[in-house]
Amino acid sequence: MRFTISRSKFLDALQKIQNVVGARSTLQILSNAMFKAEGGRLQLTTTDLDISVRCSVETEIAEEGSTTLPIRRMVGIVRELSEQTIEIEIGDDDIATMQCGSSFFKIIGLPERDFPPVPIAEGTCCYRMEVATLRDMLRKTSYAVSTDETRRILTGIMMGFKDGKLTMVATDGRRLALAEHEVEFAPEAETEFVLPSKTAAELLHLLGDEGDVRIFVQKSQAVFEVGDTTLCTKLIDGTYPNYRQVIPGGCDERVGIVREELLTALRRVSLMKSEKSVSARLTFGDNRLSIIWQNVEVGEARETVPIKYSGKEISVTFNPDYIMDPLRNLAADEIYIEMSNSHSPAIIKCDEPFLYVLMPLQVN
Amino acid sequence: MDATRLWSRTCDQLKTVLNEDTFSRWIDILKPVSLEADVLTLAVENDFHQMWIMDNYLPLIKQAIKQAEPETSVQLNFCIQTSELPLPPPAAAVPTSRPRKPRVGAFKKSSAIGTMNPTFTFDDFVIGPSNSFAHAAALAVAQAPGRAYNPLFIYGQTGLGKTHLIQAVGNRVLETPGMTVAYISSESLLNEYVDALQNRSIVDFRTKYRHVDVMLIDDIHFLAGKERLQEEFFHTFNALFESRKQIIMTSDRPASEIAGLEKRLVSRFEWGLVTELECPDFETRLAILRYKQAHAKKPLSDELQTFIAQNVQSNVRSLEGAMLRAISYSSLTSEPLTLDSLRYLLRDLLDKERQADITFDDIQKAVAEFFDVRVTDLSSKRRPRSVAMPRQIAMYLCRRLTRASLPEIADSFGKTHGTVLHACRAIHGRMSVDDTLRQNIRTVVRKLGHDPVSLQI
Repeated sequence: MRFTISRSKFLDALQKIQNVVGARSTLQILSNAMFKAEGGRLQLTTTDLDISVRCSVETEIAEEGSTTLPIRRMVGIVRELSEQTIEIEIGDDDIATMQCGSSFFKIIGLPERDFPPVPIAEGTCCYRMEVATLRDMLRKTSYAVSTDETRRILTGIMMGFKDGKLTMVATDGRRLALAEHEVEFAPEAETEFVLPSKTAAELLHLLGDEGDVRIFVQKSQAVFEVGDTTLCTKLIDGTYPNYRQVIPGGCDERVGIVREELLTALRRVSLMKSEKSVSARLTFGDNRLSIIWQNVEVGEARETVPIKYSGKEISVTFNPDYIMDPLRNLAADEIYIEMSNSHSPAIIKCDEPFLYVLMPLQVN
Repeated sequence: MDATRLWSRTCDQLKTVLNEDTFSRWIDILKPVSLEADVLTLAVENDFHQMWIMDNYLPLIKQAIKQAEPETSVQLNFCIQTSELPLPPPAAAVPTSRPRKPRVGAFKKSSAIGTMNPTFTFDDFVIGPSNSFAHAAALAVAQAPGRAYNPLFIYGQTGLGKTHLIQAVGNRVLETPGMTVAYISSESLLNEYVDALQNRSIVDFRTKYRHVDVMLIDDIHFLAGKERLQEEFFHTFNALFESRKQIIMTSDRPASEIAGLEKRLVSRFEWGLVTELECPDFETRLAILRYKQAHAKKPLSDELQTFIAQNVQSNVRSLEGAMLRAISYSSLTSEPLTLDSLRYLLRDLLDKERQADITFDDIQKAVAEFFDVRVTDLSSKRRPRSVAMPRQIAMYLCRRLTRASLPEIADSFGKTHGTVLHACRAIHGRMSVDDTLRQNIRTVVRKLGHDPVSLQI
């Protein structure tokens, strides 16, 4: 197989697929990417057996064929090359020679037939939405997944297509993030599945700002198609718990805060963090929020943030990391915190369809 | 106070702290099931509900219970009950004086992973000076799993009751409702691990054992040399230990003498209590015989029992075998069993027993004679080549032909147990390459009345 390709296009495609490589060193082929030159396009595929990503680039092909080459090394080489055009030739022995200006590389690959088969995008359930929307929803929820492997279902993000909208939920038992967006699909296509958090991270890496994403859902896997790139992932088995129960029906008080101000104040008090002390006390008073972090080993930090609030004074203890997580991933200028008293859950909202339930820490 | 009353008083407390919405959402739907032995069991709808309550509301609920019932410290326990099923009647009518009776219904039943022999109980374990310490430790652990001695490490020769003891713990713990016990031998653990690797279900493998209350592992010495399994077991051990779950292990030798076992595991195994099951003494052997044939139709006469107890010394399994043989002989032939016919009946067993009685002195004498050195040279400090090699051979043979431990052997040579260990390894290694050495050792072994081939020397 022989082809000529532009360096920037090639690098772009390689970088899109480079993260999905096998973690186990026992299957060496998984650290390779499959190269397939066919019909004027070069198709690149990587897989770690759970997720696979395929990206295709238009290119000038002199001779069709296929092979696999070590992806990490290829990215490294292509990044450093100086000229704009790369000529690549791969023999039947799966050894690739690359010529680019004054540089010459010879890379040893593995035969393509050993590469695990990659599922293809098919299925009747198809959803279409804007790339930026899916990306924002993933960003707003994916940080709240559980890292506890024993609660397997909670390590993923629930994606539910129901009632004309997509709902995404992640929770780890102490907090819950929920994002919604209207999506058009046929009523019979209503479904619900749980996306592994590794896939969410990979999608965030792939999704750009423009264009549409198409989602195909099959029995135990889902396929995301964005432009020339296709990601296919296994789903987490099982039913997602009834998350609606976690969302409080109504709250007595509502506080308006400028997002940036709260975030920077929390970031500063968090400098008091240590292994034993992970909680800060937030007191919502008359138009004034005071944050106090007392750490018996280190010292104390105090911050005040102006807020819009005129209700009764409420003092609550939170893990500030858990407040900062959604603040970092929201775009709105102003956010609202709703709560009832120091033992009831707090809700963070903004003008977008987003909701974050946070449980206070119980301090004796 | 019964469960319903205690819970309604707790709810009154919680109502004052939590707002209405939270209360009706999380607390009001909990159903009190039982209050036994100061453990209040509450029914939840599903595991997500339970998780959310345990993660977020447990301190509050505990505090409220304390206020409702200040005298005793009540523990909390949850069981999952889907709402479709009718709730069982509250356990109010059950008097608390019989807390350990297993009951079906309201409780999450106790469950066991792995099969245990139900006849292995503490009642069936005959206690003597050789095993009383191990028995007492096991009993203490069974009564307070995770609190008494953790981990408990029991070691001893084959057939002395290791498996009996740990299964007795398992069977006792299972009588308490809601407890899960896993009993597994290291060998099946290995098989399961390999299966899990093949089916890529390591997570299931982990969850299976990290959520038991009591983990019993038989023949832990089998882990030797299995590095990845040791790694996996190390993490399981830590997970269990940190959540204060009981771990009990048995082995045929002390942890420090298991070759090919990682140091960090050895140190963890020695963390709790280490007890040894020794060979039973004459009185215990006799007591075991008496106990075992209490239900036999034709019990053996005292004279015969004494004979068996005197001559079958090495382990309880052979002791039972000898007894069984004697009893079945007399019941099959309907002839009265005499001492002579018993001796004939047990001749192979007795031969084997006699062989076991080699002393260090015999070995040292035989080796010294063969290599033409003085017996005192073997335990002297000098170490020219002519003495060092026979000394190492003598140590190696002491290790192979007797049941003595390394420190005991070391004592008889006036050395440390490390020296003995080194000697055993050195000779073992050299034997596989040096045929003359192997022949020499075989000759000595034959002189001592053993068969080198059956010993794989």
